[in-house]
Amino acid sequence: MAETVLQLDDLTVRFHLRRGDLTAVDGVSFAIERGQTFGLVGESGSGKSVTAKAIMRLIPDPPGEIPRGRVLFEGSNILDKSDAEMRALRGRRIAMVFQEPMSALNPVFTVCDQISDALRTNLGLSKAEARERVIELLSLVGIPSPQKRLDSYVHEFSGGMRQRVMLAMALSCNPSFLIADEPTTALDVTIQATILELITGMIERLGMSLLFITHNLGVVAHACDRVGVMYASHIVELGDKREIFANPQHPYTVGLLNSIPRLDGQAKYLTPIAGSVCNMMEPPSGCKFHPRCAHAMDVCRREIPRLKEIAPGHLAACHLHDRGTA
Amino acid sequence: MTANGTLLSVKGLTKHFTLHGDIYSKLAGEKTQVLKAVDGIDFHIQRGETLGLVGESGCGKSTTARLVTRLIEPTAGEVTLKGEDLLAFSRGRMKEARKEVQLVFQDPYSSLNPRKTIMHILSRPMEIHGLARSWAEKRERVLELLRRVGLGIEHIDRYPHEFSGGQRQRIAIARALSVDPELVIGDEPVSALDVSIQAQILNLFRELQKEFGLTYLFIAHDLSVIRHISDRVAVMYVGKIVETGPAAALFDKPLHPYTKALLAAVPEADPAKPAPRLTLQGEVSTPIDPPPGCRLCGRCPRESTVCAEIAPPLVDVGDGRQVACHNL
Amino acid sequence: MTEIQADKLAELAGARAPALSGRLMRWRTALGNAWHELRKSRTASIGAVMLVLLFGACIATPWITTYDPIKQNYRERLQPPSEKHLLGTDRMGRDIYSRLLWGGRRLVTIALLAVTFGLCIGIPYGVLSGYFGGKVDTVAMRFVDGLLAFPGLLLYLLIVTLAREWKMEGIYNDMVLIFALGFAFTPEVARLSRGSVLVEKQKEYVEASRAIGDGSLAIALRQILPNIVSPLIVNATVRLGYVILIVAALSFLGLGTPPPTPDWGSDLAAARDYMETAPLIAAFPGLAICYTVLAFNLFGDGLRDILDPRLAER
Repeated sequence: MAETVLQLDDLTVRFHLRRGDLTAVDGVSFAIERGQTFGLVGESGSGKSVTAKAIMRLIPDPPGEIPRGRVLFEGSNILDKSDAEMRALRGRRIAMVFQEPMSALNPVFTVCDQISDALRTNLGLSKAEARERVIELLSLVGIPSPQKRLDSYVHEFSGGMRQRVMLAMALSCNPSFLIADEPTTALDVTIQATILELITGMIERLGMSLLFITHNLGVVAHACDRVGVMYASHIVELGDKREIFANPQHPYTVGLLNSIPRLDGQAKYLTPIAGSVCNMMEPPSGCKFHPRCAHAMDVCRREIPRLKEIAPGHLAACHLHDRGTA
Repeated sequence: MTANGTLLSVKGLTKHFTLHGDIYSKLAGEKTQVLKAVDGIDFHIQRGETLGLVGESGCGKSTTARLVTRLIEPTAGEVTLKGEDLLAFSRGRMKEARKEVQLVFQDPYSSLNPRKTIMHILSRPMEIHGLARSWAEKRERVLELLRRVGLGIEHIDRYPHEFSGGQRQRIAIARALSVDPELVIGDEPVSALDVSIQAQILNLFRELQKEFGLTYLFIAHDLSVIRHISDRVAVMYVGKIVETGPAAALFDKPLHPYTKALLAAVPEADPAKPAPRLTLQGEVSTPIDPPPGCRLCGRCPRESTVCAEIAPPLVDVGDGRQVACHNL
Repeated sequence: MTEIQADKLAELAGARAPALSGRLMRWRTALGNAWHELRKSRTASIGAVMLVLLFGACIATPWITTYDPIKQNYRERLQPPSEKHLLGTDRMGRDIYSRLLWGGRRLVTIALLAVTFGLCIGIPYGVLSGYFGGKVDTVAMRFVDGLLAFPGLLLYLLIVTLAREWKMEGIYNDMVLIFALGFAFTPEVARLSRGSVLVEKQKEYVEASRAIGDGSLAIALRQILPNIVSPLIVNATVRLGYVILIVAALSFLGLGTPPPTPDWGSDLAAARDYMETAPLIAAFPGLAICYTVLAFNLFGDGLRDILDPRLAER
């Protein structure tokens, strides 16, 4: 049986804002096994980035708060760890790659400085050793002539190159788990293809597990093994990638797949999902998707549906699947 | 019934920016560099059709939109609007032209003035062009516009920040429509929107085109969006158009190596389709002081010696298709 | 369309041009919102209350003073606070309470006029310079740089001395003061507005306005200006307190307000000789100055806090 690297149990993240309380993540549960890539898909406001930050314990407290839930990393609950323990984890065992390399990397330090900083703090390497390792890492991520680029600053690199640098930094201490928060969204499509190839290649080679966060279903279709679809702070569907794309069970997933223009063939009109995302400060009662759902029933207005197993390994949170269950 | 004919025609359109170095580089004797954002492009748009202009960042498509509306003045080239030379327009005629050609911008969060109500934003264009005199007339027309783009009429006195991205984009579209334009240029109008909202806005574009007989120049970097909305497509790379043709034909059988690379790199939302891959080497070529010859030189799997010396012209290859490549 | 929608449509379409009433309604709601926002910052609320008291006192002065501020009464000089003279009397027997009120009224008026003057000149200067750019901008800003390089106090002294030379009395004296103070404030305003305009110019709504065919002047003044007003308001508010301080300082030096016009600064200067025997005469004008400057500063600071995150919220 495969080993579970990360397991989220009923994770809930709430923000106390001036205007009121906002539950950005509500009862999210999923598990990622060793060597697996899990894609967390959702549009803006779904809570996917907050989930990633919660795993890394990067949610500022206040105004954020984690009232319930567990985040089990390699068996132990991250939420119980002390600050010192978290610092030991971050960078070394769990690493993160962000969307905007220009703001995630420090513009006043050279590439070598930044990466070796991580190496020397986490692994205690000497300056020379760190420099060697940085050259290794840069060629690993496909940066040409790494010895020459070592002492360049971030702004001297193009967007795709910066993303590679960020990846190098993330991988520098051989973490077992990588979280990538929209790593290719800001990149051109051709560069995106190379970075995706790079990330998936690295994961396989180094036997790492990956949590890939994105709003792009196309990327998920090719880079991930399992998929979780988030809508308005909940996971509405969870399962194997092929299952989800071939046989989506939640109306939101179906709507999402229908909204995507296809590269082949040409529908005159797309079938979008009506309306827009609910106001998270004042969410609707019951299922948060019901105001936009063509199949909404009475029960949808009253009760929030729970994730139920529809087929082995394929779960969906929708009252449509209640029939037949006692 | 839409009358046929060329609405907009562009020949040799060029925009070069001179990059002035700072005093140190000048003292060091470095020459000023020229950024060739748009370097001699030709295309035309027939009345009633949608031309999709696609390319990656830095290819010059946004600059093209601004050149064609004279928000930026071209360095060289011809722009012909309804048979007239746009670049020779007097101030008065140019103001008229602003009624005929309208723009919808990319960022719904900054393209609407945050301090003005929707009523003002939508009635200002009418005011400027004298399309509505009294306040009551303006009011009625604005309400009609709101209804046409699918927004509730109660929104008329609200401010932009009270709306979502998709709704703001609808307002931007309403603004463009407020002067009864003939040509609407969308500069990445759906790129900043969520997928489900994007679909709504794309449908809206289609509906409005049918209802008002509009002609579109639709600029985007997302190939699936371009495929969906365009009748014809032009592909740009580093300031040049490398291929044009009817959408279906171009996507089914791309001729230019860059077009092929773009299509191969798009991840499709279907695990059964092939994984995205890059068929070109290296990074995007720079538009600053580009070497002579084809822009794709140095990355292209089909290169030959002539490619580095002579820039390939855009030639007709039949069936309404044009390609700029020496090695087909 | 349902009946309700049809009615709503008729209402919205049939509504007459707001002209005054609709705009007034919008102002009222804006004011209401403003009050609500104000409560969010403790600093601003305290400052606001202090200012309300100050302005209230200034406006109500003719009704709440007890004595003529310049009437001397040597039989009752240097008296401590009593029932008759709320804050006591100064060395010439003048009632301090009344002097403070009339002095305050004058100072606050001068400050308001001066700052308004500065804004009226500085804002168009900065906005147009920033929007049109190029050589105009370069030249205009060099002027501003020059003015800023000039030591402020020297400028005031220069202007005030000239006024004395030309024997300008009464209201002309005050006008010179207002002009000097306002003029000194102009470069700061111009710079601030220009900077804000440079940022706003890059935003898409400005491009959109051009694409619609809006004229440059209209864009600069009607479209961009409302967006850059926030930092200017904060600056102006704090500046008000500062101006009062300057006028008081000038008067303290004997250069501002000529006697016997009540002025906190000159009262303070006159009280210097009596620090040991009757310190209260110095205390009250001093406290008045402190209170006023503090009120403006607190309000301005709090305003900055309120306005900034709200911009981010949008």
